[in-house]
Amino acid sequence: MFARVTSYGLDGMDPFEVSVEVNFSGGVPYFGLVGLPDASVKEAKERVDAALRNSGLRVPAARVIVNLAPASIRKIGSMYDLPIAVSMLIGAGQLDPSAVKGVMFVGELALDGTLRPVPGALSGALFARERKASALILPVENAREVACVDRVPLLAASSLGQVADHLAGRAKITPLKPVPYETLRSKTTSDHDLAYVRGQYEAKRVLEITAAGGHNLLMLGPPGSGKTMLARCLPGILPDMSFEEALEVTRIHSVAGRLKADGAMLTERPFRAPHHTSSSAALVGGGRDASPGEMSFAHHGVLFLDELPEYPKYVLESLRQPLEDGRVSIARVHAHRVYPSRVMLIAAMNPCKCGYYGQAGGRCKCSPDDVRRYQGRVSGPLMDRIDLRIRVGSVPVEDLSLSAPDAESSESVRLRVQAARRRQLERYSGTGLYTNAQLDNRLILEHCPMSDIARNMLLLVTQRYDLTPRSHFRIIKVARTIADLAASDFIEETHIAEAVRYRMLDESSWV
Amino acid sequence: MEALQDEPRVARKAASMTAKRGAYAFGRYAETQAVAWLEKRGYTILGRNYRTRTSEVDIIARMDGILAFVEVKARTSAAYGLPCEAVTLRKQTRIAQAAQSWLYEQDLSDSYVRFDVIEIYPGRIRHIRNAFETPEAVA
Repeated sequence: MFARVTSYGLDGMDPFEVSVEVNFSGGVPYFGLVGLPDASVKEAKERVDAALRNSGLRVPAARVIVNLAPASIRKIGSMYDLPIAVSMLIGAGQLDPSAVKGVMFVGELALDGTLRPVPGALSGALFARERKASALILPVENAREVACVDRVPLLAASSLGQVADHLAGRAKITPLKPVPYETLRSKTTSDHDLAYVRGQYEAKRVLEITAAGGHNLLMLGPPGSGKTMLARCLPGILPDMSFEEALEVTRIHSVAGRLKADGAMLTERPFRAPHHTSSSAALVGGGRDASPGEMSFAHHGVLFLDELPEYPKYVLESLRQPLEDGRVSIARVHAHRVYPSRVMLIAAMNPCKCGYYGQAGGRCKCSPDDVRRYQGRVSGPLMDRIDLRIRVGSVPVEDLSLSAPDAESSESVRLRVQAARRRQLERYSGTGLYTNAQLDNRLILEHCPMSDIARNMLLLVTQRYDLTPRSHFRIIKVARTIADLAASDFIEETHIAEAVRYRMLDESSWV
Repeated sequence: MEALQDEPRVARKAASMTAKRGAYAFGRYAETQAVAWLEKRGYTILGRNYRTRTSEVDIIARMDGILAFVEVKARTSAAYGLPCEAVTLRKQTRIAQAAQSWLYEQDLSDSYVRFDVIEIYPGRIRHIRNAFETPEAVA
């Protein structure tokens, strides 16, 4: 007998429909699995067999052929266990084919018949909704991940036996009740709050601008000056993730199987700090299956590269295109994938090998050549993509003393950031952009009106320092953010001046 | 014969042949027991000791429209492991090949088929239904 059950596969983050077809016929008993299954799918045979037996379900010996259609696309993973088991029950005449009409199935089976969670469940649930499936039956451990998905009945099952009972009408599974996204958002209680960062007023100001416009930032300073601490404070002043952003972020982590142990949807902006020994495949993505890398895991969040010059040069250079485009496209023999990578790059570095160049007291023992060589490890093209650069120096003693008043808290900074972001969202509504950092040159002309004095000042700076067009436009974008923080529609000369200041570091270093 | 027994090599061979003949008879006896056991449980016996040039199967039986190709394994003691363990992949392949050629000869290739093993110990019999699946080499 023939049976067909619907499931889905994942090509990177993108789901596609998979029909699990089963044919039972006479002849010597045999189980064949076709339709380009990889090893993890082929193993389904043993799991399904044991799970059926241990769930008290009997499938007679027969010549069984399972086909995963479309047969031309490679299928990966253990997610087809459940649809295969269900289709075998139908093929063996133990379930009514009408019971699975329009229903999608996904889940890995344990040998005892319990269901194990699968990666990419959120993508699958959204896909089931898009396809107007009458239901998606998935493992109960994936329930928290898909909690917010509405307008499609999601049935969370704990075992194959429960699914069979449901389909046979013996005991129905009640669909999950969609949870509003707002109730999932926990109050962020970060260990890192700007209130605990002493001094560093200028750095904090730049951090605020960075957050408000979604810009990239480089912090240059001696060891122990607080660069890392400042970077860790950044998530705390970023606006909350919108539902759409949270969906995207969760999907990336989910397809890679990187959700937290509780499997819940991610509601906080990611903060990724890969070590400088990371490979370029780990950073931008890659490997045999073209899996996502840190840049994609940091999507809509922060990618923090501490000790920037310590990263291998080719690793840093591989960041350039994804930084510019907001997405990574990875081509491998068996896969060609595109992952989003809209990150805020926050980099920190020492000014020289010993770390103290430019500090008072002559602590630095590096020759000018050493300094040049050290800074030269970060290439011009990468530096050009970093809008804001700042020196983070040592902190005056009076700021360090315990009696010094607490600094402004992250929460109050966040309110200003959120206001500036709201202005941007309104301005760019309908363009698909969220932040000033995303503006391209055409949109800059449209959205960044400047006073005459401001324009003259910018032209003067561009000439005086021989700025590249990209630098020129990036200064405008930062000025736009500074104006937004000041609730000003026009970019004034003070905004330009501040933006230029944060791009220059000093006249001796990069421009 | 007297002279031959002086030759150790020939003597060993003769002894082993006697043992082989004994094992063969024991096997036949076990198969007869298995057939009786199957018939008692309502199976119809369709064939015994079906062989082709390269393959063989001990019993072909049918019940409720399902064909069972049965391999009989007997042991007088557990010293050499369970009887069913002796049905190796190679043996399975031979049985499956025999089944295919029998099905083809009888024009029954669409029938539902099962491979069983019957274990016979002294005073005990165990029927393992669906003991193995068609090996890849045959399917």
